[in-house]
Amino acid sequence: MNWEDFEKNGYGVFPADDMAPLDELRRQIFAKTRDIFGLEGEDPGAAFNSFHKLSITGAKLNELRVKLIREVTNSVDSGTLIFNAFQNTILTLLGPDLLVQKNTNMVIQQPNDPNPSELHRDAPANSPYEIVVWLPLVDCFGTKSMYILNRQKTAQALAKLDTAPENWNDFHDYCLETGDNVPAPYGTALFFWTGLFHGSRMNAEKETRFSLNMRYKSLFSPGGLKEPFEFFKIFRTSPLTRLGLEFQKSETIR
Amino acid sequence: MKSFYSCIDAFLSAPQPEQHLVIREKAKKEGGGITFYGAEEYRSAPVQSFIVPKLKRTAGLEGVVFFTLNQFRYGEKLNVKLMREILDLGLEMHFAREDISLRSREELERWLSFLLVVDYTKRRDAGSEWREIVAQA
Repeated sequence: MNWEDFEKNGYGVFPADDMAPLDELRRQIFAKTRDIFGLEGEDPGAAFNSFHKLSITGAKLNELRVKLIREVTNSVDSGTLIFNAFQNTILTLLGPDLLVQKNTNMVIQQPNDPNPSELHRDAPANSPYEIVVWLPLVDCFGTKSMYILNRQKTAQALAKLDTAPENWNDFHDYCLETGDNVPAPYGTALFFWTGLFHGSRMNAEKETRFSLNMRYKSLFSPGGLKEPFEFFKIFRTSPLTRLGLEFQKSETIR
Repeated sequence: MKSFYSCIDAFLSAPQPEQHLVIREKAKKEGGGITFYGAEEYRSAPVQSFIVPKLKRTAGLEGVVFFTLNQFRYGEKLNVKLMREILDLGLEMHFAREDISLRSREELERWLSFLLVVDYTKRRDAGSEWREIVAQA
């Protein structure tokens, strides 16, 4: 992936610079998943892929998934581990002063689950200056992955919606037809701009998808409509920014 | 159960019952309930001259729940002095919309960088809708 392609499409699949933090993240999430769902096995990838064999669905699945998200958010430092794995990509996109999402969003997409992630774009209401890191914890391909409309296709889709905003079904079908399934094996991450339409199709593969998503944003870039304190925390600052902030503190409080 | 004072945002167009509802939820989350209510007078809201005297006069409080941190941003700069003043009364400060809690000066110092950056960027970008920002990019 080169940066021209990224800018043209608004997304790209990037390999990890360092697999160790990624493996550590997957190991920690696997440990939590085993505790909460009773998942068996020693190999995280194989166990996640065959998660559907536990036959947990509906309200029970959602209840346990919410519990898993809470546990992972509270006790796994996903933002740091993802940053450490993809440091070059994140720093190139956003610079040294960073906010990171407070919660870790996790998606479990079992084969033939009739409720995949709905078509949407994050911005607005999120800031168009955020990046979404979609991280597969298993190899994702075909309908097990997610679909996305690149910048050009998103613009065309928006034009179509503008002409007939009352006809969501046509718009939805159009996006499903034109959206590209993005293969993302474990060890990579899909980085995409918040302004792109994306979603999931029904997973017609024979394996369960485990993935998480994390958003990063430059500390000083314009915010979206969401409250920054509710969604983000300061992740890191440059030495110069720290000097500036110390100065500002003394000036503000005088 | 802790006893909190509820202070709604006088400038917000959201109906007051909605503000109270969100404030009550935050109070509950912090292990307490709302026992007294109030709001800044519209004219004094930018400098928040009402709240400290009121808190001093109200016995038995353990903290105050504001609807939003923005209540400290309506003046020329973020009102950190007032935050310190309230914390120095031995009271907790909670902000319902942002889900932030400040229980001590030390906690305020830990949050201060983020508070200042958000205050700065919001003032800088005030009036710039995302559509205009994208159009200019």
